[in-house]
Amino acid sequence: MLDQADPEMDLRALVEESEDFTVDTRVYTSPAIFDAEMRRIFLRTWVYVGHESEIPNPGDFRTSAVGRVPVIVTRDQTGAFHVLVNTCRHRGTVVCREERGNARFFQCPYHNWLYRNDGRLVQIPDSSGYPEGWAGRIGGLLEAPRIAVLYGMIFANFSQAGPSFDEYLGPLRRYVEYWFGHSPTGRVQVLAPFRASYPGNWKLQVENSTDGWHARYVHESALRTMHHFGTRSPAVGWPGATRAFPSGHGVLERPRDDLPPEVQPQFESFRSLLAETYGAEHAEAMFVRRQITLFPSFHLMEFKFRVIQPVAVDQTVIYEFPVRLEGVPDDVNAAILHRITREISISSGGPVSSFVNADDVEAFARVQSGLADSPVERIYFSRGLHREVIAPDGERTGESSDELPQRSIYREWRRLMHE
Amino acid sequence: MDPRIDTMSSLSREEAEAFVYQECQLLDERRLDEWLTLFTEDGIYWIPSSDTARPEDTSIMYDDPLQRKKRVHQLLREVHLAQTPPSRTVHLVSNLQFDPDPSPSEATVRCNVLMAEIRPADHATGQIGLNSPRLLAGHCHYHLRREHGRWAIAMKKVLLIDRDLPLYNITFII
Repeated sequence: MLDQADPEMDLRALVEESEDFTVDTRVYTSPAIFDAEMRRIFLRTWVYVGHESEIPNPGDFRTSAVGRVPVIVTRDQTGAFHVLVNTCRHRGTVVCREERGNARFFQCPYHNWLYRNDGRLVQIPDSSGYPEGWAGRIGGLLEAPRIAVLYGMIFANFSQAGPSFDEYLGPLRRYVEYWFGHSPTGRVQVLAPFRASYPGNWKLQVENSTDGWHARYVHESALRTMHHFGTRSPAVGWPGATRAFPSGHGVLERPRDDLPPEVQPQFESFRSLLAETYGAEHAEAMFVRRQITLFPSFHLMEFKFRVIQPVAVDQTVIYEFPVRLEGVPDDVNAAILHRITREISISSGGPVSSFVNADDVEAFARVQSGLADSPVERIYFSRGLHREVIAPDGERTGESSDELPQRSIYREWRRLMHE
Repeated sequence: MDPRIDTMSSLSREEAEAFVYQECQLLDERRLDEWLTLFTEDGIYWIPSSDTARPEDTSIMYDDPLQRKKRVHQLLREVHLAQTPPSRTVHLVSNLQFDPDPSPSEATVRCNVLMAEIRPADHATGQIGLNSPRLLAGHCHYHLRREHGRWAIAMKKVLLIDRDLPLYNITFII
């Protein structure tokens, strides 16, 4: 369908890697490419749809999306998870419109078809209008054939083919373990989200979440404000690292040396707690500020999940869910929450009104404006390409300002788009 | 304290109206340093992201005095990308409801706010996110307290009608 929309377009040439790493600017602006992404990427890989702490009890559900497919993530009466397509099998009506809730059944409002919370169609009103056993042939709401749960994160895959979740995660697993290891039990509770939208392509935020280079420029006003109020020193050099993995994942690491004075005591006691739990060496490896991309659209940020929801080629929604760490003293969790929701480096409002993230979103709108109908045909992700170090397991490392995680995203993007 | 100020009588409707009108004017004229002085020493400016939100929950804004000072500093004295160009705003308040309060030192005022906002720029080349007026509407809830002989905001809470929806660029004061 993509090729019909624009027969001139060579999908393989949209991402090119030689002495430079370049991307065709139509990946941000073409509705045909966006439509293809929703099917070829989002319906063929592992996509985050929710966390078990949001649906702790039998019957709990939350609505979510896989690409543009609306889904209901349920916990049935036996406690098992289901990712159900939120579309009635009769005429295609959206069945459930609540964001969260508890229900044993979902009833379509159009002709009252009734589905159990495991998706099975259990009742059609006045079923004498159909031959006996007809409802059984329908089965129920469509369901993601594969789901995987990791530290309570629920991922859905609408394709039976392709890598298992473990293969998809690959060597990134170690860094996800570090992230969740901040809870000695490995368990977190997801809190109410920040929500923001922006008039730009979804990949702009995905690229940005592990972009260590932009901060000093896009966030200059926030950094100068922090400096003015004495809560942060100006940055020197580019400490930290970037990492990239097969399957499109990436990591940005920087030292956690920018804590404001009011939370330093709690973070020091937190660090000691981790050293007692894991040993000093492992704890130091963990206690790094890591921003992790799970391709295509999920990030583990500083004590919050960031979920990127594509809406249209030039319209995107961001959800950010702060987490509460289980097995950690209340004052540490309070300090973490303070850092996420109050402290200037992140601040209240997340991407919509904060001192920091709102400037990212503004940059995305500017990119979308700049590329709207531009003779600029390709953009560059070449920074650090000449100094990538590749380990035998496929993990690549670079400096913290390198565009290494972004290249990782587009290598996997290219594979899924034209395979 | 100025002995001429009547510290014994409770807030009148006229004073309440004058107070919120003055705030609108300061915001629309971007006189944010003066806006800061409208608050009590511990005053809070809060835009929650749900109608059941508590202060410790995620909010669109929850600014204590220091946070508010930082926000105003970034808005007025730094090159804040999300406010380049800056927003032009018009705040309209109406439906002012005034709870007669027997206390001479506390008062509750509620009103509705309708705010138009636009960031103007070069309009020939279609800058996305700019040049289109936006409307924000909500219920304002003021808790005023007499401090240093004048009325000041102990809490201003703005419950937007789209509080729990994804919003774009709220880097200004509602």
